[in-house]
Amino acid sequence: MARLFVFAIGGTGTRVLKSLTMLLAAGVKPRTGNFEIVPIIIDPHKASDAMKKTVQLMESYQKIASEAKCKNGFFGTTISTLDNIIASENKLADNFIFDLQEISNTKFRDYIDFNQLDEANQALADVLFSGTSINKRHEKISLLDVEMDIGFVGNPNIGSVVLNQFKDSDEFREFANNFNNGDRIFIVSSIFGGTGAAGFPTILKNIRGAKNIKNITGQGYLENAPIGAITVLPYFNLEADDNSPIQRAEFISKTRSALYYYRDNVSGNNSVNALYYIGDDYSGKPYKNDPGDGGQPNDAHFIELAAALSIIDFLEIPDNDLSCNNGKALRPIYKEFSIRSNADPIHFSDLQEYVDKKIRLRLSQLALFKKFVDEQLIHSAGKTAWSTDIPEINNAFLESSFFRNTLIGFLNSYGIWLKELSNNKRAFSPINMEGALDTFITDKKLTTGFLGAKKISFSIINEQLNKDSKGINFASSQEKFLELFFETTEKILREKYGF
Amino acid sequence: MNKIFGYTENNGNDWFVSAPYHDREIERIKDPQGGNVISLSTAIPSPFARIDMVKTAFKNISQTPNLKEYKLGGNVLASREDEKLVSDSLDLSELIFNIDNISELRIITWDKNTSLNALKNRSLKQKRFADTLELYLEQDKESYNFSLVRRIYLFEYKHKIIGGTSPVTLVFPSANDLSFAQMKLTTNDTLFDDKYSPLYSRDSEFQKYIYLLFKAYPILTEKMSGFSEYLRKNLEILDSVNHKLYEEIHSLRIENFISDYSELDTGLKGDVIDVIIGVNLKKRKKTDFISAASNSDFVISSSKYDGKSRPLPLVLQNNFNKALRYVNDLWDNNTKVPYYDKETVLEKRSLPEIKIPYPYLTVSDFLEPKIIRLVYPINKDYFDGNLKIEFGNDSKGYLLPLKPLFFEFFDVEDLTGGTVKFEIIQRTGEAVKVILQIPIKKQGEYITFERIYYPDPDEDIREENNKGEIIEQQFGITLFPFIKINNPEIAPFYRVQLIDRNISGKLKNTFYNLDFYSNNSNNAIEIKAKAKRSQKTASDAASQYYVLEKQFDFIQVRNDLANGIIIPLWKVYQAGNEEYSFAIDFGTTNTHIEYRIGTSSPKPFDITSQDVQIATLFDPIKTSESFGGTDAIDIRDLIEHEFLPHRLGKDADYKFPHRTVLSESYTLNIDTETNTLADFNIPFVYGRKVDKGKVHSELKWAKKEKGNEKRIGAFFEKLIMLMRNKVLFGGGDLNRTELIWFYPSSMKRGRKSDLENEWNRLFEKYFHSQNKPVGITESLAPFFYFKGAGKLPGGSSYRPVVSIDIGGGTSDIVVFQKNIPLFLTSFKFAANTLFGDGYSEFGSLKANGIANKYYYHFKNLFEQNKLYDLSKVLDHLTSNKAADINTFFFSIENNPRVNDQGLFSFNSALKNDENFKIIFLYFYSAIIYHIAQLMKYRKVDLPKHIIFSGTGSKILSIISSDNKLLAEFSRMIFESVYGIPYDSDGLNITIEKDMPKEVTCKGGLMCNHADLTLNTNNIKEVFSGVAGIESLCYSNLNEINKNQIAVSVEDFNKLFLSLDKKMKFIDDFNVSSKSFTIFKSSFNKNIRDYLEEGIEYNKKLDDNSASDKEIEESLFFYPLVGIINNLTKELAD
Repeated sequence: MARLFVFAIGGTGTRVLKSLTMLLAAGVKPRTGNFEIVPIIIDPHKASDAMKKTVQLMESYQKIASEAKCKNGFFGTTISTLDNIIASENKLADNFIFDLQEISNTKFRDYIDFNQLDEANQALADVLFSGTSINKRHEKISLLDVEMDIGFVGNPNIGSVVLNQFKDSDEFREFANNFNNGDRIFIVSSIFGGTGAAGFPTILKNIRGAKNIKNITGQGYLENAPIGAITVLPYFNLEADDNSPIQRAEFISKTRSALYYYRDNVSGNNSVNALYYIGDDYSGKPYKNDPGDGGQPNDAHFIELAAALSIIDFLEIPDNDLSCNNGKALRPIYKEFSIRSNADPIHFSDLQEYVDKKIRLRLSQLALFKKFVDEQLIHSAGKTAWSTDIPEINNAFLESSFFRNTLIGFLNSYGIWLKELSNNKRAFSPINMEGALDTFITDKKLTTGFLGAKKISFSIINEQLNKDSKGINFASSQEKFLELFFETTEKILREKYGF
Repeated sequence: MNKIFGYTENNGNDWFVSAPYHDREIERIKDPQGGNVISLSTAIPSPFARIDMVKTAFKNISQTPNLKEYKLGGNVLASREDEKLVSDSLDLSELIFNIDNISELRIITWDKNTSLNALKNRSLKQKRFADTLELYLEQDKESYNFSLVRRIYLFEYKHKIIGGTSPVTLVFPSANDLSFAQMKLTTNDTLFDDKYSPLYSRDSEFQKYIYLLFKAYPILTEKMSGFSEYLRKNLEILDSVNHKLYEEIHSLRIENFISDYSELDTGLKGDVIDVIIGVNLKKRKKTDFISAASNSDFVISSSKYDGKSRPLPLVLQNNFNKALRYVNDLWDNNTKVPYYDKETVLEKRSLPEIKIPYPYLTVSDFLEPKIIRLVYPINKDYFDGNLKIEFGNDSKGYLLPLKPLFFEFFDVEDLTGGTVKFEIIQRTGEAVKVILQIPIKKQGEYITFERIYYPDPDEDIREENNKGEIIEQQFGITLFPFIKINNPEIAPFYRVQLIDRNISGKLKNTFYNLDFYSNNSNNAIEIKAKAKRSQKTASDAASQYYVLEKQFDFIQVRNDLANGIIIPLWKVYQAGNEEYSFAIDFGTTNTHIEYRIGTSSPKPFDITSQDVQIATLFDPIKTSESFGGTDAIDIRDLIEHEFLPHRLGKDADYKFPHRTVLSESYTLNIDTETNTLADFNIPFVYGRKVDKGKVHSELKWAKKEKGNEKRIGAFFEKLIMLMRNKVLFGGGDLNRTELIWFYPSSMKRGRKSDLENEWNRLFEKYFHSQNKPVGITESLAPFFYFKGAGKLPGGSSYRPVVSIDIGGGTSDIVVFQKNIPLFLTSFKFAANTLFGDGYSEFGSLKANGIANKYYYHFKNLFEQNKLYDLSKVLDHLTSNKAADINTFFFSIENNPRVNDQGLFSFNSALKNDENFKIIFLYFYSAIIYHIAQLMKYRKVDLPKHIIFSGTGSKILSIISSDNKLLAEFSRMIFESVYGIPYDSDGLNITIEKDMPKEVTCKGGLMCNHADLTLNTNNIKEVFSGVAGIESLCYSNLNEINKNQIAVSVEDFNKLFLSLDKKMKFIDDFNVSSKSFTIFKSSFNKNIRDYLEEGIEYNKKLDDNSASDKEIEESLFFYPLVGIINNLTKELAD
């Protein structure tokens, strides 16, 4: 199976990755072909909560997918760590994270050995890395004194140097050695921060210039690899705080500068096969400005979801359209995203038809699944036919670690994710988990049916479950639970909700 | 309608195919804060982000109408950050263009190959850094022209990197705070400040350079398109804001790029700076600044400093608020002009704030850090700096606190005439404000230098703060002569006396140096000699003297603590036709000078208020007796003691005839080079005040040795200088001056010719006259005075006239007949015989009875009359020769401080002293007797007139004030010797009582010189008194002729006693009987012994040189000298 290596850089990379995980968990897939997704998170900001949660989420995903042996349906796409896929005996950390070296408690000055440089190099470094920044104690410091373990907040030029160690890393070597014909690469980054903006060109340039890197194989594949990338432009507002290294106004000027740079050195030189731009000039409620240890604790955002969809979109592009020669895309593609109207909140119906179709059903399925699990399962397990048939969905299952920790945990995350999307500005609120079964799809209010019969209820779902489970052999309770619900929720939503 | 989450304005559904983001899209991204934020950091994910940002900034700014930050409909086309980046870049380019003006700028070369290799071969960290640089240099080469980059040059200013060369914008500035590099180059624009300047408002020369650079290298237009676009827009704007420059830029030719600029290199010749391969930056030529600066309105307006060999400096002050042209821009009133520039070489200076290496002058270049305050008001003969007294009184004066540099640009006449306005204002709190207004090129405009000097030292008082200190000093300066000749044909001779009376406090151990400058040269004139006379003590001032033989216009006084300038307002010599004649009678005791102008009557030499020869720095009238309570009276006193008085003559404190004395320092080493009026002077205060130096009173007959010759020369020279100045001040013609000098006929030829040579030498040196000095025998001249003045009743043509000149040391006798000198004789039997020490080798009070007796007389008188000065003088003299003491006694009555002249008259006292009278009579008789014998021997008729001259002739009035009585007495002697009686015409005695000394000189001036230049040797007679021997010499002296001489004395004694028979000494001459008795018992004793002593004494005087030479005087007087000296002692008791 072909692989998609997703380099998720910086905070935005991680969050897009989270949305992608949700989509994949809900069963969203590219229209064509199956890819094994290999996410690699590149973020010096290791203490970031968002990153930790995303990693946990993906680990839960992996667990669910492997225990339930998901093939299609929920969790139907394989997500692997780099370590999972390598043939060599050099084991890597099995955690999706590219471990940046020599950055904890390190100032940039030390990272480049500034004080030991010869005069000419020191002079050059002095002027290239001139200027100031603000550290986590809100002190104004020389750029050379930036401490690198909270990310390259606002200093992508420093990031470009530090992140360049990637090419010398075991991770890169294994990535390169295991990159095969047909595999693809996608790079997710924001343009307005520090880490993402820096990491994207660095990784891109190293991949395109792989022939100059020693000790790896597959240089040829890499040089001409199909590479997609999304660059996320500013999409949220930020509290003004003069003492913070992150400024909204700076976001804009930085974005513009970086875009000029991309114009010449990314798009301009056809380095990328497919480049996705997305951003929102919506200036709603400002995020709290907190670049500190916990990281910018932003709620999930529609733009991140849209960005995750660009990955699916990229996978749907035919191989022929992604060919390269000498590291240059022959037919580079540039894409932008649209919805039907400038809506806030956004509902499924505000999405364009294709995406609506692609995600309305699947996200709703997972939501309905979660709703059933949350509200009905306890009542139905061990009582209804679909649960008592072997393999049973009984109390033992309900008490299993798989269910109780992994699956419920994941579903809860999904719920929170949905809630965050709907609470954010601009809001995406297609599903209201608190709503009743006839109202939880926000743009599909089910009316009472003929003769006053309820069109939807948990018992109707139970009935459908019973129907769908009949005569089918499941290898395990886990497999049964996920496959059955995937099938049933799809049917219910199609039939009852008219999807 | 679709909502697109992007900026292309393309439309489509979901993730639709759109287009890459180009400028249009990027510009559509709205900045909610309007682009006002100066970005703290970069957004470019490349180590070369800084280069990119500047490139982008140029591009953004180029799209704006005025090349400044710009918003259009809420859309920021160019942010303030962009404007800053462009401005800083242009600042950096302009800085480098003017690199020769910036001393602390260094260029560091980063070479793509060698520097990257250096990194790779070091630590892993450095290698990783190299890899990153290499990656981006390769991957981004197209957009940054990295393939055209061989080197990047980094600019280090004051040890910090301020930027580097850029392959896309020529240069790029550091993002660090560059305020430390703020400076002005050639205009008022400050580099790296927060007032951003577009190219069109910068120095035209810089603009032209940038356009020429792009013209010379067409590749730049292609490779640096953002910059090129900026230039195009800039030119558009120039069309309207500076059309002249617009035209100039259009007419620039590529050749200009080669010719108009110098190569910019790293400091190594040939190591030129290329921004991209083949494109070399240039720098401004040095001459370029000089021509710009030399056209400034602030160029000093100096007629003296033509600026041909060196550029004319600008003159700059703080707080100058007129819109004059500075260099390339109008003067900015905020420009900080340092009050002090430590660079002393003007050509090495840079103009304030704009970094142009061009000389300028600031207040400390012309004004001293300290002003010297004098303890007296300054004499109006000196320029006082237009002193204005706002506060306090005018008891103080100030030296001009000007540095000599001022005079490189201006003559003293510019100051005194007001071309340069100068003022010293004494203000409240005793502060002094000095204002100096320097004219500048802009017509009618001045730069004003001001400095306030404070009396109390304070930390703030420094030139850097333009605060000065007042240093009060006690010193005096006196110039001699105070006249300027302004005629290259006439050599100037100056003496400058400096009196340093800083005897206490911090000034105690400081010293002075004077430098003398003329308007014509920046270097001090040569000081021919410098002499120290008095040494500083706890109570006494020091003195030093400068000998100068060049004219000067101002003096710089340099003291360890402060310097100042003195400008004499010289009198100027007006050459006229007046002929001056001088006659000098250099006497043993006194010296006299007479002069006459043209054919007027002779008069004693004088210095009147009309021709004061010296000028003291202190105002002689306004200065208080005690010098403002400081008691610095030495400043006045040492002038008379060691230099010369303001006035001489009638009504002045001092006059001629004056004692023949010379003063010098006790410590003078006579063997070193000495100078008159430096090492020596004639102390006119002699006998009035206690000598401050060592006084030599025996000059005329002093032994022939080097020191004495020098002293005589110095004595003559001072007289000559006084005379010369008399002529100069009087507007006379030096060339036609006459000099007559006298010598005694008894003077040996060798000695006389020494004197003659000295007079000739000095007269030639100081007068350069067509007339040679005329030497005349002293004795001949008085006759001509008496004759010329009609004082010989009955005429002088028939019977002989005897002229007797009694000096201090010698008496000269000439016998005239028919106005022609028949013969003359001379002998050392004169005033000193009576008042001197006899033959005792070491003179003293005790050696002479008269002196000894009158010592107590005068001592008491002084005490009683509180004349302490004179009392001290007397004390001081007690160890001197008796003659000096007696001479002092004679001088007292002429001292202006003595009111009752009668009381203090030595003459009167002696006249009334009956005890001594016999000696005077005896003395007188001896002379007349000797003359009578000689005349008889020469068979000359009895004389009709005896005329007396010489100071010693005052003795006559002691004997009797009745000339007739003297004449009768004399007649008796002649008749006794001749043995025949007089006819009825008898004998007349004529004497100039009041000025017996003067008649020699007067006579000298009144006669026909030709008559007097006869060789007196031919008529010289020595009456040996020894029968058969015409002339004696030491070798032929024997007992026989010695005995004969003793006999001749005894013969005279007999005759003398016989006279008492004819005229009663006791009655007619008031001789006391007691004294007569003592006299008679004593005057015949020891005659032979005294003769021997006399021979011995005179032999020594003649230096024992030639024992076979004729003894040029009669030995008759030798025993008499001893007898008289002995009698003074016997009669004193």
